[in-house]
Amino acid sequence: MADTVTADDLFDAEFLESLQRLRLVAQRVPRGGRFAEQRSKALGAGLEFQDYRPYSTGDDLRAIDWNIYRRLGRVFLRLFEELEDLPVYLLPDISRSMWIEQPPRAHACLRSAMAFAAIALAQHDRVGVFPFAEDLHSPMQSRSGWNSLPLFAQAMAKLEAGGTTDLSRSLRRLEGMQLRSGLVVVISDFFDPAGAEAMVSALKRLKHKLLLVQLVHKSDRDPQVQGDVRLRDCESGVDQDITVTAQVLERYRHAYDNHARILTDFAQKRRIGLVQLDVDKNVVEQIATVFEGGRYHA
Amino acid sequence: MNFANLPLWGIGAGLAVLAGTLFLLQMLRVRHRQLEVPTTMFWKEAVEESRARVLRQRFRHPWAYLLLLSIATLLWFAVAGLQSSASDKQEYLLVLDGSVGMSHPGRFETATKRLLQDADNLPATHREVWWSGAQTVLLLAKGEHPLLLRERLKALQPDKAAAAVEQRLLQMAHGVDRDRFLQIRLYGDAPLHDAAMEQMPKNFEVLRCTPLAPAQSGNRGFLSGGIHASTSGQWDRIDLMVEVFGTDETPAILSSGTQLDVAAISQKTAAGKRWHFPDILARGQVLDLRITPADAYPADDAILVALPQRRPMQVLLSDSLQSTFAPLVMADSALVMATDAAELVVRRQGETLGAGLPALEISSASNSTHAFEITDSGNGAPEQLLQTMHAQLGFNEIDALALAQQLQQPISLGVEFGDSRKVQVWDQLLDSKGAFASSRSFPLFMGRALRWLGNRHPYAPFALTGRPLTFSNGSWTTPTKGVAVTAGLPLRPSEAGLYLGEQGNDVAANAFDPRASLGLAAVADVPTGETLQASTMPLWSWMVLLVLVLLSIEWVLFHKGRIP
Repeated sequence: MADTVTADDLFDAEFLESLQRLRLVAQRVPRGGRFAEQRSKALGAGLEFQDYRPYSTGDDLRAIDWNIYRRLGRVFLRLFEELEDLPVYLLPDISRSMWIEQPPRAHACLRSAMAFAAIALAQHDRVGVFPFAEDLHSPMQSRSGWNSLPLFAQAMAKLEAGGTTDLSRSLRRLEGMQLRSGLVVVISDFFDPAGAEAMVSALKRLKHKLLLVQLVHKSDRDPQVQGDVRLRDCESGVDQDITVTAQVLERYRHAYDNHARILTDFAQKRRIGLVQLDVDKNVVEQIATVFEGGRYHA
Repeated sequence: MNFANLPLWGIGAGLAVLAGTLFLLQMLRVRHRQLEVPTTMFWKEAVEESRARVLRQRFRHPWAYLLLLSIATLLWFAVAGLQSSASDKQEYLLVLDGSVGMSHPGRFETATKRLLQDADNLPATHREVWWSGAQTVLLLAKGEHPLLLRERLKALQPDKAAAAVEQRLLQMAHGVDRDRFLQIRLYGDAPLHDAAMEQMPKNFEVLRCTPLAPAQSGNRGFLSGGIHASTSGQWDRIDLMVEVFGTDETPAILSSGTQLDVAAISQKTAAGKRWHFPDILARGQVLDLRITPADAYPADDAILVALPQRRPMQVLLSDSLQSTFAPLVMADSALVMATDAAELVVRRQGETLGAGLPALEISSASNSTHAFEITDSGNGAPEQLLQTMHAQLGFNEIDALALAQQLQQPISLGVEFGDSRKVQVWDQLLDSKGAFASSRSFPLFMGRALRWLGNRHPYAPFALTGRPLTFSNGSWTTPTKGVAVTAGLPLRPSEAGLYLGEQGNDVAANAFDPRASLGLAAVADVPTGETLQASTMPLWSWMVLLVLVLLSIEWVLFHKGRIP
């Protein structure tokens, strides 16, 4: 098991600097949020004129358009677009598979989570962190405001390796929380024993916007294994005795590619972001690839 | 099949052990390198089932096992020298003729070249190579490498011996395994006659594998040679006769390196000329007869003739018999009055003169049962001795009826065995006025009786290689090969040369081969065997090839992931 992560490992000044140009932009966030920078479906006292509606008792008299009353003799209110926050739910994978390599891909996972948290907090959005493995693990309280970032870092640094990966169960648990609709960012290796099809089914059922970050390692597709080996699944502990030949490797790559293709097809069809993030490379640079012109439209 | 003589059950047991061993190896647990990986979900899809071979679990990979078993079995068979059952019963006997006839220029070289070529191309376990010269020698045993044959042939040249291939094949035909098919391949010019070949077993096939000897010309040499008792009647001399061809020159006769000047009489024959050299003093010397100059076929340019030892026998005469026997002794060239060492004695019965010597005793009718009584040394059948003596001493020339009438007594002949030879004769028969003493059979009988008592060895008029001398037993040695024959067996000279007799009765054997000497073209007698080609690849080579193919298949299957 690799070393645990410290809060200092997760972010620093340079890290935050590189995130400043990135923004999450929601088309329209559902009403009910706090005042922030995202356009919402709520109409109220914003700056951008949106529509008219007939006056009803109790409406704010300051919103009456008196020019229309003078021309038509009827009372209408001018409606303006409300700006609210976007709930961002970060789902970092802390299953055992994220911790066995050196460096563990959990580092990249948590740094990615921190990056998205920093981006969201910088634009006054609300951020919730829901680590998962075989289920959701001790969700962190949703917070907003830039000052919350160190709190998230400290909380993530305390995370420990979980068990097996069960994304479907974790997503069902998240859905059961009846959270305000927002952006769910799943950061995982997606090595769910249930398979890619089951994961995609679970993702389809989620009533949130999605952004997938797939943590990959070069050995995932090209394992440096030859001959008679006993492979132990780090999550289930089950041994698999195999004789690795060129033919077996070929079939392995085919299975891996098929797994990746299912995720990619799902992302393309749903027009959601999918980042295949190489854990050995700079995290922010790779995340930035889905921010077209510095913006990711959720 | 040659598995070092493994029986069929042994081969089956070997295969079972091989299959069992491979099976156990197949079942052995693999020593795995253990690795912890993030997930095995893709590996599970990559391998349909575990490649591990685990003891006491179900047997896996039957095709890989069969492939491995096939390869191991083929390798075993190849190393063990598996051969087809067709060639199992086919044996080859390669015979190189090393007789004197092969001395013609080029003939021996041609034969050895063909022999080596065939020895290379025949299965080593089914062929033998024999040399048939003066002796029959195994040149290459079954299983030996042909390179050994090359080395052994370097030291060989044709012997001065008559061709004996035919006789040896006939001898061999009596002691062979008749279930096996034997092909006899002859390399040389030794004649094989139809009569002899008809006696060969049905499972024998005799082939001549060298080209038939072509006609030769320009040769000269001896065709035959021998000696004979002198026609002049002189005991100590013999007549020498030889037949030569190709030259009218008188053959040179050398004795101890000195050429003898001997009168000769010649007579033309169908092939050449017969030379008669009469009255050569016989003192046991060896004569070397030569025709000069030598030609391309030197084997018949010289012969040896061993003359017998023919010194007169020294006779010790009793004083009482001087008047009767002295003239007889002096008249016979084979006898001489003893001066120093008497060889036999003539005495009256009861005299002690020459005690222990072979004796001619004159007895009286009152003391002896038989008129003639002969005692031979040693033991044997009296009837046989009686028959032999009757003919040898000339009793058939004696008119016994007339003698019986004269003496009024029956004339009988008795034989017995004793310490030394002795001939007893009634003195009444020696009466000068008697019928016997005055008959012409008297000197004949006396001469033969005294010669028999002298016990001189007979001599061979001629001696040919490969043919036994029938006249005598004894021991002879050759200067180079030691004892040639032991007592009790007649001498059969294997090779031309001088054989030294233990008792001075030397024999000079010659290898006359008129066909080779006259350069006659050989006549086809047995089928011709073609030279074997090297194209026939042995079965083990095919097996190794098959193993390579199977290994290639295994390699391909391995890379396709069909076998572990």
